[in-house]
This record gives sequence, C-alpha cells and structure tokens, in this order.
Amino acid sequence: MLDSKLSASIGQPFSIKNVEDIEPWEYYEALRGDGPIVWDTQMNAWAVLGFEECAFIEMNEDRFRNPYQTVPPVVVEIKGGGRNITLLSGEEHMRMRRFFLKLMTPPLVEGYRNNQVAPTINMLMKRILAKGTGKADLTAEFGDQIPPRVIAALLGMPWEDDAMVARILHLHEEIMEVIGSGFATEDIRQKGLRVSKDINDMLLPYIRDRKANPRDDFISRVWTEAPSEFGDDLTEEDVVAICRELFLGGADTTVHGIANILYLVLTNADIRAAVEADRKTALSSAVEESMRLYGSVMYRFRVANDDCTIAGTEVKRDQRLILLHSAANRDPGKYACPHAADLARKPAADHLAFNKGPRSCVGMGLARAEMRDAVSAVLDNLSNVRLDPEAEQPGFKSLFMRSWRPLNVVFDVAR
Amino acid sequence: MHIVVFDQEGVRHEIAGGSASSVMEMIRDHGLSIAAQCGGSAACATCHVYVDPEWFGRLPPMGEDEDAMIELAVDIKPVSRLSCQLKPDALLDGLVLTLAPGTEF
Repeated sequence: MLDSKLSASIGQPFSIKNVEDIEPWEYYEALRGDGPIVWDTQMNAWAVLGFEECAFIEMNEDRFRNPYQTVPPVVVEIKGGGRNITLLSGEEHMRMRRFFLKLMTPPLVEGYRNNQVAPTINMLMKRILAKGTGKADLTAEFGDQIPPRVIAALLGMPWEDDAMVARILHLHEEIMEVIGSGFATEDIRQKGLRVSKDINDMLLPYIRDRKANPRDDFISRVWTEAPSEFGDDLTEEDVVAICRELFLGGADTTVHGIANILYLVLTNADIRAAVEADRKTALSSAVEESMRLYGSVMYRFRVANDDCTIAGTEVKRDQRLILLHSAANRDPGKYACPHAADLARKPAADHLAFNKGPRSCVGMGLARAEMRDAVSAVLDNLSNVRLDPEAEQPGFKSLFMRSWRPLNVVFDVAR
Repeated sequence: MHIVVFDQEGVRHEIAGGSASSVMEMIRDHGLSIAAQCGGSAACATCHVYVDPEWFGRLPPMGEDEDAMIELAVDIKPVSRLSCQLKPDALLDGLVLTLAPGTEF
C-alpha cells in the first residue's frame, strides 16, 4: 500500500522532494516509463535515473562539470576554502586526489583497521554490553559513533571525547543538509557559513599545534607532505580546506553506510545466515548490496558544459543534472531483480554508491572496512541480536543523506 | 579476444572479451574481486595488474594519467599496469595477467 504522502505525489509534477522522509523507490519505478531522465520542477534540474547515464556523466567531467567549479565565494567559504578538493578541477584536482589516495592505500587502511577502527568498535561494544539491559540502538550507540571517532583519531584529535564526537556528528549532518539543498536560499547559505565556521573552529587548534609539533596523523601529513605537491606557500587556510573534506568524508557518509548494512543483516534472514557463515566473501558482497540498495548519498549534482542529448532528451548548456544514485542503483536495465539483495550478483562492486570517475570516493577502502567490521562485531558480541518489536521501527527518512534508523535491537544477556 | 588472469589467490581464470571496453571491465564483469574504484578513468590505482613479462613489451605505452597514478599502486613492479587503460585488442589475444595486491574490493 502506498504511503499517503507518496499517493498524493503521484500525478503532481515530478520532484525528488516529493519523497522526502518516505521510501523513494516505488516513486522512481513509476517514473521510469518516462525515460532515464526527467525534469525536476522544484529542484530546477534534470534528474537522471538510469545507471549508464549517471556513470557516463560522472566519467566525463570535461562535458559535465562538478558544480563546485563555478560557485560564488560564499559557497567556497562554506566548504572551508578554495583548496578543498571538491572545489578543485583539472590537474590541481588530480594532484590533490593523488595526495588523498596516498593517505588511503590498501596497506595503510589495513593498519587503520587495527589501530583506529578496532579500538573504536571495542570501546563502543563494551559500553553496550556493560549496560546489561540486552537492548541498544545500533545507530546512535554504535554505528553513528564509529566513523567520526575513526576520522578524529586519524586526524590526531581526541577520539574518546564523547562531547566532541557528538558535535562532529551534528555539525556534519547540518553541513550535508546545506550541501544537499544545492545552497538554494540565503537562509541556507547563512546556516552553511555558521556551521562551516564551527567546524573550522574545531579543527584549528589541532592544525596550529601540528604545524609546530608534527605527529603521525593526517593533519601533520598535510603540513609536511602537501607542500611538495602544492608548493611551499601552503597556508593555514589551505590546510583547513584540505582537512575539511577529510573530516567530512570520514565522519558522515559511512555513518549511513553502517546503518544500512546493519539493517540489511537484521531484516533479511538469508543474508544474515550467509554472513554469519562467511565473514569474507559473503560479508563483502552484503556490504556492496547494502550500498547498492540503500546508498548513503541519494544524489549528486553535475552541470552540462554544452548543449547535449542524454538518452534522447535535449539538455541545455549550464542546466543542472541530479544524478539520482538511489534510482540508478536499482535500474532494471543494469540489475536483474534490482530490489532484491543478492549476494551472488556479479560484479558485486559495480554500483554508484562511491561515484564513478575522477570524483569517486578516495576513502571507500576505509568505509568498507568500517562497515564490515561493524557487522562482525555485532554478530560476534550480541547473541541472538534482532530488531526490538516493541520499540520504534527503522525508517528511511530525510532527503539527501539517508539510512535506516533507529536500529533498536534486543539481544540475549548471559545471566 | 580472451585473456588469462591469475587472481589474488593464484587461481587461473580464462576470460572472453564480450562487450567490455577495457581489460579491467573484462576482469570485473567476469566476477573477480577488483575494486577499480574510479570505474576506469585512471583516477585511482585499484585495478593494478602485473603483466606477464612475455606480454609486457607488446602493450601500448602508458599515457600521462596512468603514469602518474600507478605510483600509488601497492607493490609496484616493472611489469605493472592499470588494467582500465588496456583496451581489448585482437593483438593481445591470450594476454596473461596477475591481479596485484590491494586490488580486492
């Protein structure tokens, strides 16, 4: 049965905003008959629902630019400064990307698993078990806590500081709302400036300290290694801008990724049985399927550099495109039985959750490690864990960043 | 065209070209674990392969982007290439590759 809000939306001019706070997939399916690209009246942009079309646009940045390449100064300020990787283009972007990738090579990520992810997960799991209640919200008490603590540890910040971690989470959720709106109104931009300043103020003491006292952390590596990539004139403002995207990428999207894989495992008995029996291939495939089915980031913006035709639709120069990953990742032209979680799907990692092309996520190795290790910790430590039928059930709310929450569970406690 | 790929566990796979537009896509579409995180635009190094020395000299030379990015690959060797930059070609029929460490998704 259709949600009443969804029923009211059908027949109205299309907009992704029509499915804010409700599960969007039925709405997208109803639209596919209109083709893989549909005009969004409220967002004033083309929404792209097809997988191949989204992938093509992301892979061809010379034809479809990242909108941050032509933004007003206020947006640059909201993003933390001009050296933020998302604002860079061309060779300067690729140099910054290579620098980020150097921080995230597979052997380094394996080290982060042992030195930052495992201690974080162990601390959180001990807290849950110490309550002795046999109940927990695996979003607020567990999954939401992992990425901000891990990235704080990697940046060289006090990852065990609960108040700081709560503030990191809150500020990054707020800045993502601003980003997801496309910086649409003056009120939103003013909010973005306030939140941006607050995030900068969190980072600055550590950035200033590491300049004088380098350690083995990301902030120190930015000070010591970035000048060789970007010149000796690296300023404090530049370091803030570089660290801002490390902070955002590390603290926010994986929060939703962990919630979504936990939801899949908790609600799909076949997936759970496979993952319990096989923590390597089955768990890896389950993580990929959770990202394909639910994602974290529902859409990305691009802008057409010239008049062009996409799947038979004429798009004018400088028109905006919303690459609707949450629809494209269930494109029946790409995936058989697209709404089903299928661990045998090949190739498992061929989805858009981390983007394609030169803007694909540089931290995806760490994100995958956090998601896998979070699932293993829950299955290993919380005996007979299951959704609590008497508590609030998970919903797929919000608009731009989404995950199934809350995840109120019960589990057996040894007496 | 077909290629022979040894995966990260040393298991041999024989892969036919199909409609893939790169050797990376051939490997990925066959279902092997290859991250290829950027999707094939030489913007990461997670489709890194070792080319059999018998074949290495027959490949087209690296472009500028591949040359810059391959430095980030794990355990780089003189026969290292990014498989997304290798195009299926009848002249490469029988090409032998090994998936390098750090390419698993």
